[in-house]
Amino acid sequence: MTRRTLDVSGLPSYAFGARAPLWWALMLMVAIEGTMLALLALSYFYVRDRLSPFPPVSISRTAAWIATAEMAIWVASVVPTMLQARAARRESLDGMRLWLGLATLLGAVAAVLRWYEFHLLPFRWDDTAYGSIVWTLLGLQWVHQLTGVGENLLMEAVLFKGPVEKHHCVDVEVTTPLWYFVVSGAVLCWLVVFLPWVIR
Amino acid sequence: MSEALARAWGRPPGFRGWLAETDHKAIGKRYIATALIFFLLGGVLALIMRLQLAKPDNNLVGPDVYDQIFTTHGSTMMFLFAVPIMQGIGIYLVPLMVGTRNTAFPRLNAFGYWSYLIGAVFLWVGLVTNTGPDAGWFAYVPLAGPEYGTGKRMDVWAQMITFTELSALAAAINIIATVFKQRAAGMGLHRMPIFVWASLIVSFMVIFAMPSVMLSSGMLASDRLVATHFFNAAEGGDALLWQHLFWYFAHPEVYIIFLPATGFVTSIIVPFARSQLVGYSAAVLALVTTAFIGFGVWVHHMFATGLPQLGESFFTAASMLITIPTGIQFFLWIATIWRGRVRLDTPMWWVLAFVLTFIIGGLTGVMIAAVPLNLQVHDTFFIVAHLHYVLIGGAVFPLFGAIYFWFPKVTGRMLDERLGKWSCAFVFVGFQLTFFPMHQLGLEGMPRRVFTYAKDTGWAQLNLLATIGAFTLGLGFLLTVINGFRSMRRGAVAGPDPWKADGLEWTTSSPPPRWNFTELPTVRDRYAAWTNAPDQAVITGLDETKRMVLVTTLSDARPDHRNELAGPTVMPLLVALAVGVLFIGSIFTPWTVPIGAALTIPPLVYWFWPKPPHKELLKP
Repeated sequence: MTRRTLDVSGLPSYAFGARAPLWWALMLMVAIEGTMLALLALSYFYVRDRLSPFPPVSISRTAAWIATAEMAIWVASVVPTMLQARAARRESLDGMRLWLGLATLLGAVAAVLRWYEFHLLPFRWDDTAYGSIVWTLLGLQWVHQLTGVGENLLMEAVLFKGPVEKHHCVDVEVTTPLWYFVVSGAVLCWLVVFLPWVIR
Repeated sequence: MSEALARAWGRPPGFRGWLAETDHKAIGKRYIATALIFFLLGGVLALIMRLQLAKPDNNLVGPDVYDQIFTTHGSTMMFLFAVPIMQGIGIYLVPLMVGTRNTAFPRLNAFGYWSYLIGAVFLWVGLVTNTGPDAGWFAYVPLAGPEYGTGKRMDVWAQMITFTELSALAAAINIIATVFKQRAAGMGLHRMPIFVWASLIVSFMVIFAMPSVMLSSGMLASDRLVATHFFNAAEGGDALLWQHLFWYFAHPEVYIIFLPATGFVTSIIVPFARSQLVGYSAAVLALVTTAFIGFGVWVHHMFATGLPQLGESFFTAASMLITIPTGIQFFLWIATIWRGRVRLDTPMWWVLAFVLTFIIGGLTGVMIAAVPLNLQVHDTFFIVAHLHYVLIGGAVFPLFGAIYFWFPKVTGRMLDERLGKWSCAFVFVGFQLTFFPMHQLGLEGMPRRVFTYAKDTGWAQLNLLATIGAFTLGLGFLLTVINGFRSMRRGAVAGPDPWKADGLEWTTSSPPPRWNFTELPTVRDRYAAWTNAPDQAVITGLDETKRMVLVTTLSDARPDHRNELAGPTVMPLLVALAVGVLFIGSIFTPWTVPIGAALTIPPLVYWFWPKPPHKELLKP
């Protein structure tokens, strides 16, 4: 008997979104790093219950407003990132270059502001448990920021230097959830560490 | 056609090719072999401990060495043996069971293995240079912190954790993506083999549990190295924060080890009972439920810390609740055996040893879920007995069953049945002799983690019995090692399916070719090999000159698109080495953190940079 066959030669050689295995890998990365960030934020509140007064040191309004600006820039970067994903699905090289570049630029500016915030913090990581947790929370999230910016820069380099393969459009599209995760982390850090000093 | 596949799925020749390997079977075998070596090394440490405890007031090893030995034994067995071997078997088997040619991210797979190897060797280099960790495998602060844990011993432990967890997370991502997106056409979620379900669920547990220990070991390392105060009560930190973060990981870890073992048991029982599994859906739901409840029981490790009673009651209830899904699995296995016609070959012997032993461990687990009894036996040998009944009985016995079951697939040769049964008998009897007396020792108040005891305690006879049992147990394992080496050369040729088993992995040759299946299968039933009729369709239309795999939809496994996988490269090894510089160096100076991070960039860029031959190009 001749074996029956299922011919898949007509299927595409790439797919976007949750159809792509890479999308799942990135979502799982988000789950891993998100769990770490969430546990760290929980640890912040755990320490809060054990340290009196809490916080032991005041954060200046300047630092709080710079952190607010940083968070706002991250939130603003969502727009070019969404447009970047659309451009990728349209397979528009110019669109991907533009919107990916703009999002990367915003992210880089915000990451520099975070660096500046570290200098403005009136305590070190080795002063109290509060200092340890704040530096670690902001530090871990800063690593996420740098990773997101670094990855975008690599993709931008590929898009400009080429040769650009069609499946790179998938790479540009599926990494957007990672960027949204970085934005969410920046908002979380702002809510936990800086918001009380903004609304004071 | 096979020649094209052989060229496409080959690797560069020589040692460089070996370092560049990305085939899931080769990496899976490396995981398994490395984990078994560390299992034997951890076993040797156990025998040294048993010799030391064989008689009272013994001075074979002193307290300092004893502390390093029991800590390295526990850390080795948990982090370097149990989790890696379960994941290694998953990496080897899952692509074969779901009918694809490699895992979704072959290079990530290689990176995971190299990270594991670096971390594992690092721990043992620490031990042999008298820098072995000495605060127990769960590294409680303040004993493990900067105040009492002086020297570099606990730094070694903390960084070993980082490597092994990186590896576990890499494997988990790979297994989930492979199971979700690369199953054979027709293998809907409702047709997945139970072992694949177990691997999938365990991988999700790894994703949500391992970050907790990575975070806490990072906090411990920074408390020790850069003077943070996470666990320093004097500056607002809290030692119990460590316990919460550690056990939030470490209790699910028990199920990360145990659930794949239940997958082995089901995989063995079905062909050896010659019956379909009774209650497939219930078995899957039992796995899922166990995983969920497994995240809600960690505080039962902390009952002696003076937690609020309401919290204790909740965690007692949750700890008892988790026996229900496990019980369901047991009843399903019994029903399957009842319905079938059982063949008692060696894999089934191990399964029966598992059933008897794990039930005892499960029952003592219910006992110590109750706070009063827990407080009574806390930190005694009763706990040592319980955890070994659960971990060896619950995971190692099924693992050895799995070794006897899948050895023919991996090597193409059968293990010797007679030697296998002797091995199982020695291990079973030796195990009971070793660990059952420990229940009594614990009830009599013998504390764990002490290097000796006084003569007038009356513990000498039971300890001697346990030591005799330990050597019997070791002899049993040794028989399987001998069996393995002998059978690899002289074992009977297995053929593709020596057990008449049901999974897709048995439809390809033994050992499978590098591309797994010359004709990619489709599936129309849960028992793919049993229902693989001559008219069953095979996949065509994948370019066989490339590393192409079929990507299918998540739920129904309908063909969705074709995907070309990455080929072999040494870049994962170079990235793992750079990460090694980062973490190992950080024990001595924090400057290796930016240096190591910078070192990862060139290989990562090379790893991802498009290289010829290029795929379909985008027109500007």
